[in-house]
Amino acid sequence: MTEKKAQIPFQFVFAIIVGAVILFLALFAVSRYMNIQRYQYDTELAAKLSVLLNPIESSIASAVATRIDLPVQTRMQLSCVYSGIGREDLKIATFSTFGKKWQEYGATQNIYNKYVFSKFQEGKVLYVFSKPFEMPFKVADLTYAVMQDYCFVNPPDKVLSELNELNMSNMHAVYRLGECRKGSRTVCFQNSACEINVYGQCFGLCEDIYDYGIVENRADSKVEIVYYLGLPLMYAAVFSDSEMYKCNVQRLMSRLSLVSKLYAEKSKLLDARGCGTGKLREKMSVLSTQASYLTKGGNIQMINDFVKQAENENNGLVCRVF
Amino acid sequence: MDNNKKIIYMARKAQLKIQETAFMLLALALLFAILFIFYSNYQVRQVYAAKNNRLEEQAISLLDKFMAMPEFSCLHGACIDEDKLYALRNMSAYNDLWKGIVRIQVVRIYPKSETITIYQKGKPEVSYASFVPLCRTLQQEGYTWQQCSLAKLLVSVENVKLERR
Repeated sequence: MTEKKAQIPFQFVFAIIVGAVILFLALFAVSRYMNIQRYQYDTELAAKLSVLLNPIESSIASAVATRIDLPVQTRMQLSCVYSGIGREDLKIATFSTFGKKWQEYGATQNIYNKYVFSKFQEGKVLYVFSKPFEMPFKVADLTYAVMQDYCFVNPPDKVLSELNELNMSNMHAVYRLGECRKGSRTVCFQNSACEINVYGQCFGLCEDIYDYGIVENRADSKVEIVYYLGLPLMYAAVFSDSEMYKCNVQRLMSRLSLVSKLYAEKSKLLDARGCGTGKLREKMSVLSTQASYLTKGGNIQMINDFVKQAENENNGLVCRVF
Repeated sequence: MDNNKKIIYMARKAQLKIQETAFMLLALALLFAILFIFYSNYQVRQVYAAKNNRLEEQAISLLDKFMAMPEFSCLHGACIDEDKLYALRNMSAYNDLWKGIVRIQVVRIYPKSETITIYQKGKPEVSYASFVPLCRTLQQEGYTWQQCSLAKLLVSVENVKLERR
């Protein structure tokens, strides 16, 4: 009597193996496709954001603020590269409920014609405001991109009125540190009780004690001190880390050097038309050289005297250059 | 003997079935490969179109921005400073600032026609223009004034094209 063994048919085994391979390939393809789509989406978002920042800068107002609602929770990373005009590299990563919650950043968007001050941040709403940087003529617009809440403790009148005018819902001004919302970054003035402390150092012939000074940042467990000149740079030091601030100041000095050269050339043209701008031309050349020195680093306040001299010279002219 | 023949017959039948399945799988793989090629081609075109859109948006938004830039802005109001333009066109240090743009021109339309090219690199394909007052400072007997003419600010970008090899 022959015993018939229970055999699995070959077709059945073949179908299982091929089916498993197809299923694996399909899942692999879907996962790769989703990653590429997210990378593309993040890259496009960074490009759109860079274009969106243009109209914020182009206004002639003293400060412009806006709010950008992002489609999903977003991580934004800005890094600064200094070489001549320099650039900023913007990278975006978005949150997803499928697969990895946060995957790698999208492609880097190079920004050459902006000075954006920001820290690494995560959020769904981006608050942006810009202010012109004047030395004494406009050099560029500084843009501040902030996702976090900031609490200004007992700010000086200038800052307080500006915060009220900008009316940004993530910036609050309070009288005492205890009144600050939980989780917000605190900014103190002439006081060391906050994460970020601003010390005005202009005690001589100044409009305000805060015309120049230092900003001490204790937010990231180490104390970093940077020098500022003028309110726009004070905000820049408050809203960015010291590395980004110093790099952007070097870029700004490079731009100041170029714009001063441009005004020196304009002075030459106007002098030929009988405007008597010869002296201003010399002052502009000196300012350009001094700014050029500061592109290598150093205390930005050193340029203040040259700026004032150029401003005084220009104010005394019949045909003003700037 | 009969049993052997039956085994050989069954083995041949099984081989035939494996071949059938293999060919079917091959055809299926080929179909998917063709579909994938078409789809990836479409996707690449979409990416290029998106890139061109961004360049266009950038050029249009820059038209407005240039008027407020210190390199272009004039003394009073929203106009372009003619005196700065002549100095600016000789300053190559600015080339980095114009990255992404192929050409920047200011074309005076009235009263006399004149083209001032600030920057040119490559072949411009799409240009965007905005009418602007072009002003220069004049002085006579202690009085200064701005003499303005009508001009067009032209910003050109290159269209990114899909290269065929």
